[in-house]
Amino acid sequence: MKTLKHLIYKEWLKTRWFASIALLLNLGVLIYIFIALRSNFLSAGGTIYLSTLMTYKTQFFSLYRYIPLGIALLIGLSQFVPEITDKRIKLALHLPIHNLQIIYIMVVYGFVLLFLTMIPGILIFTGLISVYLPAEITIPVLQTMSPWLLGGFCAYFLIATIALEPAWKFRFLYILISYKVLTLFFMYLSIGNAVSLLPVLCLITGLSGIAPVYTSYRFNKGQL
Amino acid sequence: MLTKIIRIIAVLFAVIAAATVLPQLYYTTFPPEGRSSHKNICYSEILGDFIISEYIYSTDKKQATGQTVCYDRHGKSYSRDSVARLLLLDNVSQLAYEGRFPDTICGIAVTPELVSSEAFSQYHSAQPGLYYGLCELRDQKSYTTRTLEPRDLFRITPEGIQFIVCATNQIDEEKSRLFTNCLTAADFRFPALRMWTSPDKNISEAIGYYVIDSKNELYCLSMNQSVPAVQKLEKPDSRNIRNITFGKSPDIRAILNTENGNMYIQHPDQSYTRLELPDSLRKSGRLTGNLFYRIFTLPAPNQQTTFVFDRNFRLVDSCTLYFQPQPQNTAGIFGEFLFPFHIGQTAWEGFYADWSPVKRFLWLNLVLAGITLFYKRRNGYRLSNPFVITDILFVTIFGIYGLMGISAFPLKKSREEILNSQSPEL
Repeated sequence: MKTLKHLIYKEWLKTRWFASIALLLNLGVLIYIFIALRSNFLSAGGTIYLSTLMTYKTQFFSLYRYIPLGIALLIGLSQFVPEITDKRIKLALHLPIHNLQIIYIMVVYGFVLLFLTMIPGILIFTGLISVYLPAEITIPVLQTMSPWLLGGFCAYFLIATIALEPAWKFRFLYILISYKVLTLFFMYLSIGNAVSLLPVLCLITGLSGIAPVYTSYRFNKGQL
Repeated sequence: MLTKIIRIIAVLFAVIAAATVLPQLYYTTFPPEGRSSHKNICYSEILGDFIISEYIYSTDKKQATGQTVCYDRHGKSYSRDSVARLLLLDNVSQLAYEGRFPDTICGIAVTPELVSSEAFSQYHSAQPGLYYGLCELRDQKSYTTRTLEPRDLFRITPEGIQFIVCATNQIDEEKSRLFTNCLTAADFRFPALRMWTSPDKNISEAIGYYVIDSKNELYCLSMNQSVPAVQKLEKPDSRNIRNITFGKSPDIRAILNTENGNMYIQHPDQSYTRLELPDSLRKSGRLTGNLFYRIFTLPAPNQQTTFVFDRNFRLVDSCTLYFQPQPQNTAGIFGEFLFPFHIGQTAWEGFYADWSPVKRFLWLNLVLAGITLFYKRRNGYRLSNPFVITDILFVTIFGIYGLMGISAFPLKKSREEILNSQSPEL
């Protein structure tokens, strides 16, 4: 238990400032989107604004598209780059805990941090836009944003996978593969049109969550 | 074991990534299509037959020029000048400009203005589109005074109809209660499954909404000077309605598709006429109309069928136009050998895979599988290892994608395999 606390504290020391920046970025963009929505709503008039929104199905929140990806990069790189520099993660792997457990404490920590950075902002955003928009628009908005959030989580898991890969030639390949897999999450869609994609995207995100096991095993065995 | 299973998942990820990007890269660099076929079909009220126009490319492949030829179904050719005189209703503007527009067509006195006013075109989909369940009910008299302009949106929930005032996002309880009572009196069963209205503002004001209740009954909901108007409508048959499109012509109130694929025209008197369209072609299509005919054009893979109906929607004639599959150049054929499939994604279909003809890519896949087998044997991998067999299967099925996947995530040898490969040196 003590070792676990120390591990988590170590991760916190690495990521605290980046997580703070990510949280501010997330909240800042969402609040800006809400302010813009409110301004357009009041200047155009509620009826005209909502009718136009439903007719043209425009994404008034498109500014948020790559924010989850940016947050994942901030947290993932701040967490794993120090570890792979001079292979410092070997120090952690000498602790009296199974190697896979250590890796997954790190990955789960990052996942929880990512969750705490993104989701409260989304909840606040949902509450704010619900003041002006009925549920029939708010729910499709969240459905459209869901692939971007899933993309953020998937990006984090893939960053962990790439970072733990010992050989640079394979790292480069994994970067290319990850780039293409992540483009599946950021398609341009009308509001509410993402529902058909969500099951597959959830599956890809879940599977990417166990991908670090493969590269960490290769790292432990010193395979190149 | 866990690592090896996760490796398989990682290989599949690599296959997905490769299947998404490689074909795109290849076909952007080496476009596969040859020249596309351009054919069009019109119905001649003079001939009582179809006239087909086709753009024929020059035989010199370096030239991008060609010419348009026109012919009827019997193969008789027509010049462009004579085609204009045979398709009077489709060439009104040109003929009127040249002073060649006749005074009568088929014994009926006509003017260019009359013919133009009778022409319309609209698209009808067999499937309903994106639906939010929140709609704007315009008053039939909203054009008369600003006080009747809509300020709310409505939805029909299990509890009844709710009008949401846009400015405050609150429910107008009084108006909601008034409309709910009116719907209940008309035997409407809440909630509504689906609602449709015309995209044309004037038609939407006049007709209102067609609403399907929870018992799949059809109702018309509208508002006249803030007073609700609810009317239960007869359905065209006993089947549930799949989609409704409102007509742009005065003789078509709506076009309805039922769940078994039948298409009906609802007339202004709310009677129905079933269209004689074959089962296999009941797909989304275009409806055009003129002074004499109503013409449905229904597309299908490599073909298009045109049905001509008179003003009473009795079938007059039909014709199927076949489009030759686009001739492939060497790059296109090579691409089908190289890439077993291509993964794409759309909002409507989700994820999909377009497969190349099996007889083309299978040969390369087998060659690549043979190379993989040779490589594994040469590097000491035992074929009794199920993961080695899985690698070979990946390459056999996914071809070049599988080869890239297993190369990106190499299979670790077991201790026994390492020892066996080292034993000659010892």
